[in-house]
Amino acid sequence: MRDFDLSRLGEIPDPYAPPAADDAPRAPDVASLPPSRTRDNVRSARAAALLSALLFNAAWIAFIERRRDLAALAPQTLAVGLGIPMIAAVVALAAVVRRGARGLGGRVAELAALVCVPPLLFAIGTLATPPPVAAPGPFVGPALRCMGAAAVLAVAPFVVALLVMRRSFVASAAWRTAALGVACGGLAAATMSVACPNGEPMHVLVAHGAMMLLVGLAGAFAGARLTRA
Amino acid sequence: MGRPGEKALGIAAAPAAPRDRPVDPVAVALNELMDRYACGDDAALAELYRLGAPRLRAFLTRLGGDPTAAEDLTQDAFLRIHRARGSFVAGAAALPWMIAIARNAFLDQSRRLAVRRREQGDREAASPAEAAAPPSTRGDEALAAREMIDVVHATLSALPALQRDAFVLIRFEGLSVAEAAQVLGATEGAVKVRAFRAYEALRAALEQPGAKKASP
Repeated sequence: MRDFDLSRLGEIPDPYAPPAADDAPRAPDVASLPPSRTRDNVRSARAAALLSALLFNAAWIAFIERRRDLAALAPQTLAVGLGIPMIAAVVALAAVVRRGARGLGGRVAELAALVCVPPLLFAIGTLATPPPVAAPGPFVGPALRCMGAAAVLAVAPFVVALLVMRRSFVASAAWRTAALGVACGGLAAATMSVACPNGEPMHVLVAHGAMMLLVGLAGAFAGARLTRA
Repeated sequence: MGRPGEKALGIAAAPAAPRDRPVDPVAVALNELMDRYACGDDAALAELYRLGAPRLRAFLTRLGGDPTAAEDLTQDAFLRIHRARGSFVAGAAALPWMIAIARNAFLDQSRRLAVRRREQGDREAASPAEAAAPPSTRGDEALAAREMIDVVHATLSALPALQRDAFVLIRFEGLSVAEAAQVLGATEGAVKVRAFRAYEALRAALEQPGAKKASP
């Protein structure tokens, strides 16, 4: 076992000792800089984005699509269908807003766990709570239709979230933006559990839950360019 | 160490470990200034810049080895700080936050340069080690000191970026291993190993007779 004794780092001389603060050139004039949001602006924008995402998903259920058996559904079935993806979304959201000990967000291992656990939680929860009566019928057609709806439900809030969170993450931007995508996918999956009557585990996993993975990946590989400070 | 030039460089007074360092008054002042700036106090920018720009410029010079490029990158970093100020968390440490942004600016510029070089097929681009010479030192041991910093400069430039960044953040910027890990988006264990590997390489280069010539 090697001893990585960092106390010896002080032996190495610094070729670029920082100059005195007085040597610094003059600060740029604030008036000449592009507009930027203050902390209060950012807080308000984030709250508005969260509220708009919830309202958008609620409006979908109210005006676009709602399962016909909703009134007859057992409360525990509804709670499981809604609860599992909502918990997954909240867990993922914790990675996004995590302050961390130094205000740089959580540690990488924590963020990775908070990004990876929600889809797993959703998969395990879905497989562990199959519907009491299996719904026979084709798989691909309904699955594609539900995937399209889930994509709309996940991507629209995700785009708004990206705009609101732009230049917000100074460190681990890919993980945190992935978490944002997973959270939006989780919210979409929750909405789909109220919109679609098909409770078949495979249908729920693929058609309702795939957006957690897909939007999460989009966040990690593309969205992070926008959110990185 | 006992090499000539160490006294001129103030190595004997170098802190033994980052955790033993005294509280950095500049870092404390930056915390308060950044907090005010994040809340919308535009008047804080001038002082924030006066205290923060030299630190960022030195950090960026250590990363890239080019003081001129570091000057431009410092401007870019402050523009990013200005744009991201609203996301600065209340009560957070400003210096690691600013350093993380400066590093992002450096990485983006490095990627842009790499793409441009690929597109132009320019294989003769000057290496960072050749781009600039480190600042000169004064005093009786100036020559020996100069030789040492040249060795450090050349070895730092030749180190893998991950090792160099970890070493620079911990040794020169005074960040703790945990802070450096967050800035680099890596685990603490990985950062510790990278910093130690860099230290070993620098140590070996400094102990080598005629190391200056042997270094890339």
